[in-house]
Amino acid sequence: MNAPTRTNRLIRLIRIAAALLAAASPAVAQPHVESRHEIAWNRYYTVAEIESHMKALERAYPDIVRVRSIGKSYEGRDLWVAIVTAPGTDHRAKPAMWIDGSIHANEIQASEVCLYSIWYLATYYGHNDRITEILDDYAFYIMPIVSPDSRVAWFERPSTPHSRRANQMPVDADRDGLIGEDDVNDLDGDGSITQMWKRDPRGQWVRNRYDPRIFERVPPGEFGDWTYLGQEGIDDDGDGRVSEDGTDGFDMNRNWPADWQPNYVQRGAGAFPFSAPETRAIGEFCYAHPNIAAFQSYHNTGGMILRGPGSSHRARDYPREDLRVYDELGRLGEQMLPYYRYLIIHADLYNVHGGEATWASEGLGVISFTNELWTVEKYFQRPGRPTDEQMWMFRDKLQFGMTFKDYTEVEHPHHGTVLVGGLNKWSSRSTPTFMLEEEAHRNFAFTVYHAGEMPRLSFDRTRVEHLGADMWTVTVEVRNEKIIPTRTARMRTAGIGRADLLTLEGAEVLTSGSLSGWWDHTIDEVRFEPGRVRLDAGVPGRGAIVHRFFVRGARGDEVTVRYSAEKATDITTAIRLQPTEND
Amino acid sequence: MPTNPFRSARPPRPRRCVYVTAATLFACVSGLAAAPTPETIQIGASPDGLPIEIIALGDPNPDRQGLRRDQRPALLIVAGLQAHHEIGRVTARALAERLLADHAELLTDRTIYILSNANPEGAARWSNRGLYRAETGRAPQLMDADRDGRFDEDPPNDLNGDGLITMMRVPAPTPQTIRYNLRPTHIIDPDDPRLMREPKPAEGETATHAILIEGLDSDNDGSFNEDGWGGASGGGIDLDRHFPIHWPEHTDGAGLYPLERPEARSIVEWAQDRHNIVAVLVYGPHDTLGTVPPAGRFPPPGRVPSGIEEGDKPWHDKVSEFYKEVTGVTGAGESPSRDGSFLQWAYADLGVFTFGTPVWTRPDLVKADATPGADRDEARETPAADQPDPRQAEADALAARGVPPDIVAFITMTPGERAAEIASFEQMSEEEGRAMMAAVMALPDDIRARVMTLAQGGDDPGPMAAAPAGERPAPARPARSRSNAGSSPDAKWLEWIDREGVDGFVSWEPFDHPQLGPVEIGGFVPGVRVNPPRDMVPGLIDQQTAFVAGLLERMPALEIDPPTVERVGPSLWRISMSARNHGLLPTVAAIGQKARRLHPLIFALDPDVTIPPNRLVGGSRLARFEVVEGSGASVHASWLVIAEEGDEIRIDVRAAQFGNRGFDVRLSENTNGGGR
Repeated sequence: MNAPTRTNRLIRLIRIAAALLAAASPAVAQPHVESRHEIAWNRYYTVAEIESHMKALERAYPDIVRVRSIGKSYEGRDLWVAIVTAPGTDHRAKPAMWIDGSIHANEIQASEVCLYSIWYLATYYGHNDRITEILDDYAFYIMPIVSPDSRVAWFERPSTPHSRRANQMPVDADRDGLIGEDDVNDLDGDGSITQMWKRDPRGQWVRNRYDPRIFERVPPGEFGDWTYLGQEGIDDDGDGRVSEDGTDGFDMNRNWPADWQPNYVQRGAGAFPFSAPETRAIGEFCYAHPNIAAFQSYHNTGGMILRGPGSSHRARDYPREDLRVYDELGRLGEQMLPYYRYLIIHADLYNVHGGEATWASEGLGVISFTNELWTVEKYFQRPGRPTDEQMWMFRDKLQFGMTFKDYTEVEHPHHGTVLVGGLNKWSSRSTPTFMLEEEAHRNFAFTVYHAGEMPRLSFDRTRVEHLGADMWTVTVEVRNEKIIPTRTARMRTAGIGRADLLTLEGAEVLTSGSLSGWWDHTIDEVRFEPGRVRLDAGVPGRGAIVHRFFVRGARGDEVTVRYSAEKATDITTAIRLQPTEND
Repeated sequence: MPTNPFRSARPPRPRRCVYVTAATLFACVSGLAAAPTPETIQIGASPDGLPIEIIALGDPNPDRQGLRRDQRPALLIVAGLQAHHEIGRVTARALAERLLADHAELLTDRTIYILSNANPEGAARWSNRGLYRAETGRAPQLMDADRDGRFDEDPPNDLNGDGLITMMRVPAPTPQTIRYNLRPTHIIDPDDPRLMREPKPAEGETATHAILIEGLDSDNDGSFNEDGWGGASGGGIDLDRHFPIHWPEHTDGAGLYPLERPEARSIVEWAQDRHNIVAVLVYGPHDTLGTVPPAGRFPPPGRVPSGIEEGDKPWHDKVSEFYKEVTGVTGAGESPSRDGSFLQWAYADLGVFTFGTPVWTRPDLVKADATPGADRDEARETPAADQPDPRQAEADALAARGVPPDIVAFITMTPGERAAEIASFEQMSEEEGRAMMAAVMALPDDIRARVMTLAQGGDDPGPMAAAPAGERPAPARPARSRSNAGSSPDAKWLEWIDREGVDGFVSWEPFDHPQLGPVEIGGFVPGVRVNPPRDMVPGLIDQQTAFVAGLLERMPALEIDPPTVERVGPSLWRISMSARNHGLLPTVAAIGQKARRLHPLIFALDPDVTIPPNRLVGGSRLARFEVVEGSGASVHASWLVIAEEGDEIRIDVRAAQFGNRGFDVRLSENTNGGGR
């Protein structure tokens, strides 16, 4: 792939002009871009619906969106990835950004944010300058559902806001030698696991006289009418514990080969790194696509833009040069995402060993963030946690009670008549549907910003000098106008991926070497293969490297200089051996 | 398949069993019960499709407790991960035959799994000496070790055409070495000019030679043999640095991710599926029987041991002691880092007792009267430990002066181990570091000085250096100096090669190197320090047979007593159960109790919950025991149940490593339940 050429730019302009003409409305309102596949962004979608939207987008924009299955989940579902880039271009030849969501399937809005990203990129390509340029220069690999099995389980089977975080691989969670023998029980059949209360003259709780949905503890020494029996469920295996052995045991976000630790150090780690077919499929895809230069995974909740390390002993794996990149992107992200904070996983959250986004940082060496979608401040769009009263008001007056299941009497096999009800699985972690589009857009925009800072190279100044006879020097300056370097310090220090290559062909290269700047005149000599130079440090972000070749050739000969990087589009320039005018 | 060079060497002893066919192996003609038929189980395949096979030894039929082969406590033996370790593969293969022949009685209530060729592609290359005779045991895989966009483009080259990849010693500096930026690092050892050693600048020495693997800079990039089979880097995956415990990520040969190679992954998946493995024995370069790994070391983030758990040390010591008795080995030779090894994974993740041995130990570390070939049975019955091991004597003396055990271990290690240990200090947490310094500062002056010298990589001044008068320990051994000829591991090897007349060292010969000018080529024959001469093999197999038999006898063995019933009142019954471990080792190692990969031993009363919860009035429905200690220790559980006479109650025993079984108990006066 060559750098965006003048022709490409011209084609882009014509497309935009055509789109504006097609809209053809007088310039009174902001022109509306009609999508060829509209999707409502005020609701959540099942696995089947997301799959069908992805395929519909592929049909509507076949030259922009390609949907590929990169493997099968544990239960045999396809793992769909949308490859999004400009028509007629090779995504492998461009820097690409990986984006995924719902590795924790209960963190559902992550999938809608991913789907929105595909939809927006496809819809606005050719209509919006920025989006067009992003897809011309870069590619996106977007995987809305990492854990389809568990998303199916969350939607179709009884769940809480917090359950179905793990995948569905069987685990003996209570170490009794039996697997999955005491899963959850949805006693009132509402699809959510809520609370159980038992009428008890010696109980410790009473119901609030104005709002019976609220149970209140009585003062010490008094008796109330109710005893709290815990989460809705049955002790199916008679071991004295309720619903303690379902499928929640294996956390795929602890299953990655960077600081992976066994279960007794990191709960949920899985049998070994990449032991889940889902994580392995992503890993193999990423290793096979060394053009991935940016990484984003979506989770909920808390309003965070997180970077690694997940554990303090890995701090040295984030060299200072890389942290400057993280900080610049993360701080702007805080501005784009109100009430989101840019934080460090181990320092500000908790220790995570073998996490996905930290694997991308430490294992692949790319700049990688995890966004924790939704935060309580968003309910009333003001700082601080709302009070209980405000939360009931929100549920009643803004959500019209849809996140609460009224208490009903149920016959329990061990406890007799009990009251079951409470906040349902939609209540706390998922973005309220009427606010979903904004959440999706702001996060998508953050990834567009991040993607747009992947390396973009150009040959800046070049200079040819005649040293007499058939001896010449050819000096080139390779500039990266973006924040992210072609090789992060992590890639260089850990030895990840192929070094960048700077080659000169068309003349015999006698020797060559790097210069510390354009006006430097002493090279740091490359004594072996001076015409094919390995540059492990690449081109820095918002900076340039200067290299000088000493070549033998006849006046007027043309040499070709090429810069090739895994994480940038290759660039080539032809240079004639004739003295450059003084600059 | 490559032929086995050791195959013809059979133990010269009368055989009780007759070889029948390659497939079904043996039928025993002794009067005892027929030996169980080994079964070959394919657990996976290499990328080229070579099978990864495990031989299972043990009676496939239910035994007197109703247990089948995969339900009895098992020893897993793994060999050949590092494929140049041919003696391991040969021994593991021979063991199947020998154990059936000589120790069939041990296999009635135990199981052995043998994976003798864990890296078949590497083994094929190792056997194909004409093409690949470099000392490497990796699994072949195209690599770009120098990350220049070319794969395997600069392997070593057999420059002198002797069919071996040895070493080059290159006089330096010369214009050529300057051009290649090769700095001299060694001098020729004046005491034995075949050996190279580091110079002692304080004694007026300066380095005169660079050392390289035999070869060219084939790709003209300025580096020699930096990307290819058997070279300085590259040349496939080292399966023994490819497992996820302390995986050395982003280092040469460790792989893109742990268990990337199916050979390694298939062992892990298979072993994690088995609940009955209680111990693992690894034949390979790691030696944890000659020297027990340090206890209580936990590199960050802090809970996974780099050696063993404190709680497992007594058992490792005991097994190591027994190993030394059987083999005459007095210590370990050079043992590579365990980071990412199968051995460390089996211990710290699978969570079972794990032992590693190279089968053949550097000869100066083996007592002369216990050299392979000595009668095995005698070796077992008379522990050849008449004269005390000097190291042990020193350790005892240090311990007597109140030196903490891990510092004693540090002082008495071989220099190689100590170097590894010192390297591991860097991974210590601050807390560990402080604790260690405090322990060192508390030592008597002379011992502290000695430890500090050793910790800085200095030569051991020896126990006599500054021991205060009156407190002197018995002379243990002469002070050792690493740089003295005859004391380095290589010198010891040469001494043995000379003494035994082994064709093991290619003497240095001048060679005109096209890129480096005049150099010399020579050094140890690849593999000569790994695999013993053929005539030693039968004796080594004898030793391992005896050791494995002894290990089997020491493995935990759980006996479940049938439940007993007592009438407490008219409809109130007490049901009791117990289990005993009559092996030596506990049912679960300390690491297993920490790793909690398996469920504990469980007595589950009425698992289908036919007795309503309110009629089980005493005891927990599931009685759990994380461990049953060895040497006859037992555990007990009892329940109180309200039920009618004649009612039947089921008790499930879930014993993981020891098999599940059940009992049906009929409630009547003082009856025992029957096994199901």
